[in-house]
Amino acid sequence: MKSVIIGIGNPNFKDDGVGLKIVEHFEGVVDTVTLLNIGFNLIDSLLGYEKALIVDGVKTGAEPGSIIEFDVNFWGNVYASGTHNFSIFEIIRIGYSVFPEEMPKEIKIIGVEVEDVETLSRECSPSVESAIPLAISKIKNYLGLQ
Amino acid sequence: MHYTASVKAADGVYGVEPTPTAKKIRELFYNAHYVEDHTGILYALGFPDFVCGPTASPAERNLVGLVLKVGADVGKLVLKKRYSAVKIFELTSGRPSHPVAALPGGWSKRITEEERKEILACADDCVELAKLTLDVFDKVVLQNKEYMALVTGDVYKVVSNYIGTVDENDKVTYYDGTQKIVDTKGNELGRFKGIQYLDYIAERTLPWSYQKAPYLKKLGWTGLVDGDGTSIYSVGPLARFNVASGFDTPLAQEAYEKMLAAFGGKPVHNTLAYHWTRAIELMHAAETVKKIASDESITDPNIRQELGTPVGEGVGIVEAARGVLIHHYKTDDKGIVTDANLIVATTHNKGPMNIAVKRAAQSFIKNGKVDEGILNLVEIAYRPYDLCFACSTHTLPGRIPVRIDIIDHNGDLVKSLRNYELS
Repeated sequence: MKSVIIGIGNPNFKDDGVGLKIVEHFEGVVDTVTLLNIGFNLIDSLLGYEKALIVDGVKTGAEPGSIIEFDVNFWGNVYASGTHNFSIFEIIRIGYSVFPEEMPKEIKIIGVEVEDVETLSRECSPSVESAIPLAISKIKNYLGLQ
Repeated sequence: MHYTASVKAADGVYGVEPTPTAKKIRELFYNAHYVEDHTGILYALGFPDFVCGPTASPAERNLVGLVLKVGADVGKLVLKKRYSAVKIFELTSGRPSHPVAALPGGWSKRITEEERKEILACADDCVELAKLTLDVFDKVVLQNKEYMALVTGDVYKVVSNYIGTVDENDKVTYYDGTQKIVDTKGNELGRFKGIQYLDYIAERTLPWSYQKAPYLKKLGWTGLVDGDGTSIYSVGPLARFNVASGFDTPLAQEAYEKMLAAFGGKPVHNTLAYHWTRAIELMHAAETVKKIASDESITDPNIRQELGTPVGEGVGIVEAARGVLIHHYKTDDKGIVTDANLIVATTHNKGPMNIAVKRAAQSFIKNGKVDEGILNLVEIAYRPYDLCFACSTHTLPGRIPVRIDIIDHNGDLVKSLRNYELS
């Protein structure tokens, strides 16, 4: 099954780079994409794949380092209006509306709860760094790479 | 946009100009970015207010709602043709996003003849996308009397000065040029380049905001008020329309003249016209991409100047899609930045946006009645400025939380509206 792993984040803002660090582990194993921000480029990255996994830092109020998985059902709760920004869920929804045949049949979003996304650093917080092995394991399991 | 402003500032730090070919490639890359950026803003954030209706619920008033109204085929065409602009990024800068080619005094990726031809084909797609967009705008907005009343009316109107970038013929340009200032009546107040911005723009710190409020230095601080005599100014597509004498490409110029005739002259202070000018600029950028890609000299391999010792200071100014963007660096003798100042479009527009929100709120909130539809009517007031909060929204759910408190004349809270859920 043709799969892609997409990491989203800014490597210069501490925990915001966690998605990119996780994706690094899969380079050369499956197709990988890194995005610093979200726009239609997310759709560009998804088209043509059967299975996709998106990895990003999230803020849900959980303990930093918690792994939170999202699926398509989350989309219904997301407002779409904004000023300059897009949400992952809205962009994916747009992708399915416009390219129903070319979008992946399965998309999973793995979120790692962040602690600090404002400090200029390429190192994650210890709590977030320690979550990376578990996130990698979950992704391997999901993609059947174990 | 920051990428290009930054490399121009770095040119200044090293006291070099890019080679002619490098400059052309940078401009090609930059205009392709305009196509992609304006497309996203128009279809995802601007058009839904009109196509789905300004008071439609947020669940419907979005790009998905827009696709449902105008048809999936149009949506597919827009996104496919927009991808041609992304392809040009890749061909000119090495990557489809987050380019890796800028160098002080040049550009690291040359363009082969084969790539030039591919870019030319992509440019045709960009022009087609722009035609489609102007057509959608015409059908959805210009032919709708109710919407045109909103576009040309007084509610969404901020009377300010304007700053925009023009070329040597006073036409709109984005990568390089001279920053021109006009007053509320369209009279020229001055022009500046590079470090001269310090003579024309001052930044005021406000006790109630983390964001500074720029104003025209020579007019002095007049407060956040609009009208004749104010020192606040606007930037962005409408500002460029107001300061320039038109566009240097035929289809954009045609669209410019149509808008000029509709308003009966300039300056236009109606903020919803930002969307109209954005659609015109989409055409201009697409035509410019085609013009540059038609020039066979862009395949010249001479794309990098030799660098000497840093001179220690550089200012890079570009017209970002949402307005004038200034990067100003000071460095040590190794070129390491020791001091930096950035003035971005959202900062330039701070005064006008605050006035726009206040005016919309005063116009729509009557007798204490407020609801979600009114919340959006207020959002519409600032959306045309295309606020750049992306850096703060890289984490889920990736949207701007907005809360509006309605306070009565005694200062008591009447009602609070928000577009997010409390956790």
